[in-house]
Amino acid sequence: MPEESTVINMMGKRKYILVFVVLILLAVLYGIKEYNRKPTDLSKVNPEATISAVALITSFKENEATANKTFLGKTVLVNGIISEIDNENDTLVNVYLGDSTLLEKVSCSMDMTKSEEYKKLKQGQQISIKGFCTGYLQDVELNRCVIFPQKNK
Amino acid sequence: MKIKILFFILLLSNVAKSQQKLYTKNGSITFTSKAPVQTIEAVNNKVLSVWETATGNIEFSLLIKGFQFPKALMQEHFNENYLESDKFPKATFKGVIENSKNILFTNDNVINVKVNGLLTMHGISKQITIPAAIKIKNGEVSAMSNFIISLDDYAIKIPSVVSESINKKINVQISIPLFKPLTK
Repeated sequence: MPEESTVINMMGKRKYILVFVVLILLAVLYGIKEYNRKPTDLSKVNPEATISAVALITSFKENEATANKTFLGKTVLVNGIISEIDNENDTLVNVYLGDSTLLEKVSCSMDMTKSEEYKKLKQGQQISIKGFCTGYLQDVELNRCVIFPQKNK
Repeated sequence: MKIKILFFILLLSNVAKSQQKLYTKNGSITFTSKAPVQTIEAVNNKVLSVWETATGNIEFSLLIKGFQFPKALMQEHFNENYLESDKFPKATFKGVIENSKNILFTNDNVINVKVNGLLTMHGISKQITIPAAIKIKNGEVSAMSNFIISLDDYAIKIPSVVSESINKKINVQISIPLFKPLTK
């Protein structure tokens, strides 16, 4: 019965093609999703290191290469006192953490999707900021920073 | 008499300015790659620059990881595959402004200059000359520059699979909104 076997063969082929098409579709969908992925919102990321602003600055000042190995490209939670707030027409907000004994600061570029939260910040305030460490220039630089919610005592 | 005093003050401030350093921590550098498939643009708003006005010596430095892309995947490829920012976290430029003595800081004006210097990134240094425009308005100094660099010059390899997505000639735009006097 050659005809019957051809029919079975074709059905098998169809199934195979269907699975193949579905797989390709999934791959394409995944590709589109990956391509359009936005940089991660750091408020949803657990910090890989927690440190005070002064200790962070000191570690970069003492040995930049070692500090880079520890902090570069990591999400870091930094505790410190706000020494300055730089607000460029609400399009860029930069919060500097540090103390008066150090010329260098931790310079936190804030995540501007949450710009409303930065209006209440004040100089001299104790704060915890989570940010992505991009390295050390004159200051220790953190990007995409978010305010880490303080626990109520 | 009043005019004399004013003149004297102007003279003094001029002398002071000619010896000072100007700096910014908030310069921005934007780069653009225009290719058939897509245009990629990334910006770094934390460019450090120090300019010694007496000599015309000027330096820029920035952190490669500080470039922000609209899409995360682009940023990851840029850092991990192309610029290898774990290995080479910084890019620097050290140069001299040609004929910088001609820059008048007292008058409102725009002056076009050439800057010669060494651009270092991805572990490779190249001598380049870039055009720049320096603007003085109400005593405030700002600067702009636009130039093109070639990825091949800095051994930045783009796989052939994405050659239609990334242009090897990258347009670089520098904008320094305000050079502040450096006080010690």
